Amino acid sequence: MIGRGRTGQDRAETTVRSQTMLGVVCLIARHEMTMALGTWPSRIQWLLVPLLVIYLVGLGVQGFAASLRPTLRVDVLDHDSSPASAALIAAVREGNPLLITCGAGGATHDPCALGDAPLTATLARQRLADEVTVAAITVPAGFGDAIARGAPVTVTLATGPALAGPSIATMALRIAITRLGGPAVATNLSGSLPASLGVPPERNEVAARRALAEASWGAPQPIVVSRTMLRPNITNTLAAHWAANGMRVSVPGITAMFVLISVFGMAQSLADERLTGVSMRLAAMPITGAQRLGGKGLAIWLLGWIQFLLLIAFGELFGVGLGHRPLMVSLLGAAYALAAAVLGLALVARTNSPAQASAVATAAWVLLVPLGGGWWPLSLVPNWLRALGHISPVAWCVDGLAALMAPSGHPTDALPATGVLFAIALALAALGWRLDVSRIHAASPSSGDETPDLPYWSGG
Amino acid sequence: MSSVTPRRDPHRWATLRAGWRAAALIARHEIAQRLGDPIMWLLMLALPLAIDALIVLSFGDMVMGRALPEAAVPVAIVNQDRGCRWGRFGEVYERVLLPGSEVPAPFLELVGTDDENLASSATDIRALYRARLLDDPDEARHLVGGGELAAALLIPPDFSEALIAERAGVTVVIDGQRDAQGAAFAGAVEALSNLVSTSEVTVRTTMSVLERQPATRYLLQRGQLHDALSEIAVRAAMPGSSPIAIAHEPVAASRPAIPLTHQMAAAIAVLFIGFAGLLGSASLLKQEAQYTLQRMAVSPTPFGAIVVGVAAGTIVTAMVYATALVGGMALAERVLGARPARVASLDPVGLFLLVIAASAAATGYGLLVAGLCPSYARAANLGRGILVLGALLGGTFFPVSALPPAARTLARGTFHYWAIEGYTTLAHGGGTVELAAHALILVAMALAMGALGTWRLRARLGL
Repeated sequence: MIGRGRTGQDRAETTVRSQTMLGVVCLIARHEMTMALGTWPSRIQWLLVPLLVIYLVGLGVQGFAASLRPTLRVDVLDHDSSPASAALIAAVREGNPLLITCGAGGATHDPCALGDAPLTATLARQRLADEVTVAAITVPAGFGDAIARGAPVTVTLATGPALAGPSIATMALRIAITRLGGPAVATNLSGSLPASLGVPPERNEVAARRALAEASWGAPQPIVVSRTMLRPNITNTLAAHWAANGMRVSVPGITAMFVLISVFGMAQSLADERLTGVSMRLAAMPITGAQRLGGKGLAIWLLGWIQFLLLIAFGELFGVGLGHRPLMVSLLGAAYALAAAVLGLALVARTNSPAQASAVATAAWVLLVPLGGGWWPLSLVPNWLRALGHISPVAWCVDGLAALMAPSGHPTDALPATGVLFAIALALAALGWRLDVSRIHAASPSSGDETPDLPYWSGG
Repeated sequence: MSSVTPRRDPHRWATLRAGWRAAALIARHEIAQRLGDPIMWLLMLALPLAIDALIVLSFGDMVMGRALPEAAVPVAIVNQDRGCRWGRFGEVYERVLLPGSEVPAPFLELVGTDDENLASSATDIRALYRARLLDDPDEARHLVGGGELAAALLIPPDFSEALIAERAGVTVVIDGQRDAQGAAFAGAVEALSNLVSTSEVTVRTTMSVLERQPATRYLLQRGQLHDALSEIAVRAAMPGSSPIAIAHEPVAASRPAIPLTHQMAAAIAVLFIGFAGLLGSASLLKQEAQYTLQRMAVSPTPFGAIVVGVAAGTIVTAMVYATALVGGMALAERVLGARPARVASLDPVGLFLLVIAASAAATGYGLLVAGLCPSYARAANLGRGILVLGALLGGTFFPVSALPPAARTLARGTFHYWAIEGYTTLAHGGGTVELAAHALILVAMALAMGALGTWRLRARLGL
């Protein structure tokens, strides 16, 4: 019929058929959506639970973000209170930017978790044992005098049980001591060889040597250690954002998770229809498998997309920062919902029963969400795991939303992630269709598993 | 007059025995049905184990309450130093930082001992770093930029020459993503550099004194004092030469550390125990939908026996899943090789008690859901939703301390909170006695929720 010699009547028939086909697809989609959200419990599950989860996770993340910016507390018991002891403590602080000195010459309250309690040796030891601090330094009385005279003096360093924190504090103290003690070492030792060779000491010999040693040690030091940072610390940057607004983490991750759960849940209905014989009855109707599948797919995609947009809109109530790029957010949501819908349908196509479909769908979202950074940001995991995580559509969705949330970002920054999601959808659609589309709209009930009983695991 | 001694009612006793027998039979069927289903094993064991594996791979070196990962930091040294007439000073960095190298005497104190005790490794410069030698600075930069190395020390070709001439410099390239560890490595390099600097300043000061006298100046120019100056240089670098000594006192932890992965694994186990607890409600609601429960309720078997049977079966099922999960997680950790800190072995009796109590509380929650929800679908939605919210509040996904005060108070109403707190108590070295309060609260929750759920279920069935 559709050939070189098409007449006007043929074209009209084709148009009518197309319109009818679209009409059937839309009708099926409408019924699917009504079924999916027909009851209050399903609406609660679809919207209210995700909103509550987003809110709670946001609160939790906001509190948790502080721990992502590490600080190492070092108690200092300064029994000397001299300029030399103050210089030592300051040098310890300079030894590593993570170190906070508590007690003398340092922060005293909140960052040190001291409250109003005065720092004593007993308390310092207890704080070390409880891992509130990583080290405690005791500067003895007479420290400053000893340094001035070049006389021996001992600083006590108590370290806690961890590996990294106490090592860093120890190294900072070593830097401080070598810096302070270096000129004294040079002063003391530089006299021994000339004396043994009979060089007569001059007036103020020691002071002169000391001055020379100090000058040699002066800025810049004999060996200058310069530091070059090769890339910014994303975690610190993110932690600052999260501490200000935890919803910036919960909205992208939890939205991606619940869209996946809802979409996979709806896709499972295909398996139910096979079991109950609905597929068989529909096969006897004057509609094609493509229409049925198209209608179902359209409903799944639309519901996923709408859910995505509602959850993102909820986040805007808390100033997440996605509202000023509605078009791009919308496009990203469409791509993600489409990828999720096609993935869900492709997975269900491979199963033989509702029980299997439920199990596979559940396993899929439970794995894909954490792998893709829905539960914790991928910036916190090793590089290889971050790369692996991008097999999950969740990772692309979260990446896209993060790009749109970035204050200096441009709307087009989310285009690569959006493009990948559309590509995933296309690839899975082709693969799913080729693999086993016949099973999706199989005309007979599945044999075998007649009693699907996976309590409460299905998504929808 | 009738006797004051109550007579034993044989009929009642027989009914009670029959009830127990029925409960045992129902429990056995529940257990067989759940544990015989491979898909349930996939969901209840394979899934949480997969999540656990992801957690171990992502956060395997983190310890609760510690700011930095408890693992050796990968670093590299690129030593291009050509040396000078005094030798190659750059070699000092290599020999001190690279494992297996012979450390020059002045720097022995930086390396410490080979004591495996982490408490004493704070003084060991090699304990925190896993250093390797590279030839190419560009390669080192590439590896740092790619995150494979936390930092790299670059020693330039003219290092030694510059040091004896005036001033020398080394560069530490740091991966910004791990700036804390990188800064720590730079600190270690600086401590080492300061010791070398001390040598250099001492030699410089000595030479300035010697150059004042023509005789010693002549000896210096002839190179006849090189050995003596070398000896002074070594002595100057010895930490013992410094007037400031460090007396080191390691302090043991007041309680064992908890790896983050253990805490998260426990939280996941509690979450899945909750899902297992819902199995009981699913069973009851399914039977109600099929009118099996109504028929059983009018049989001579007491309704309490039916509920007790389902609950007992659910508790045992949850316990089996939880035990398999704990074993699987321990195995996963061993296979994936993550063990960041020495941890205390959990008290097995306490752990068993906690698993029973948590399983009972989860089952009680399942019965409550069955009592309050009139249909399987509604129970599925509500039960799962409230369970996830309870898990969120109760500390499954992040510490309860991160929540606002009101949410922290609410958290105490969830069984997740008490189960996770119970685990924390055990992991901190607590035993059965310390756990008793948590277990009692969980059992009380189980009884209260179970009783309320049964009451509502009976009312719905018109019993």
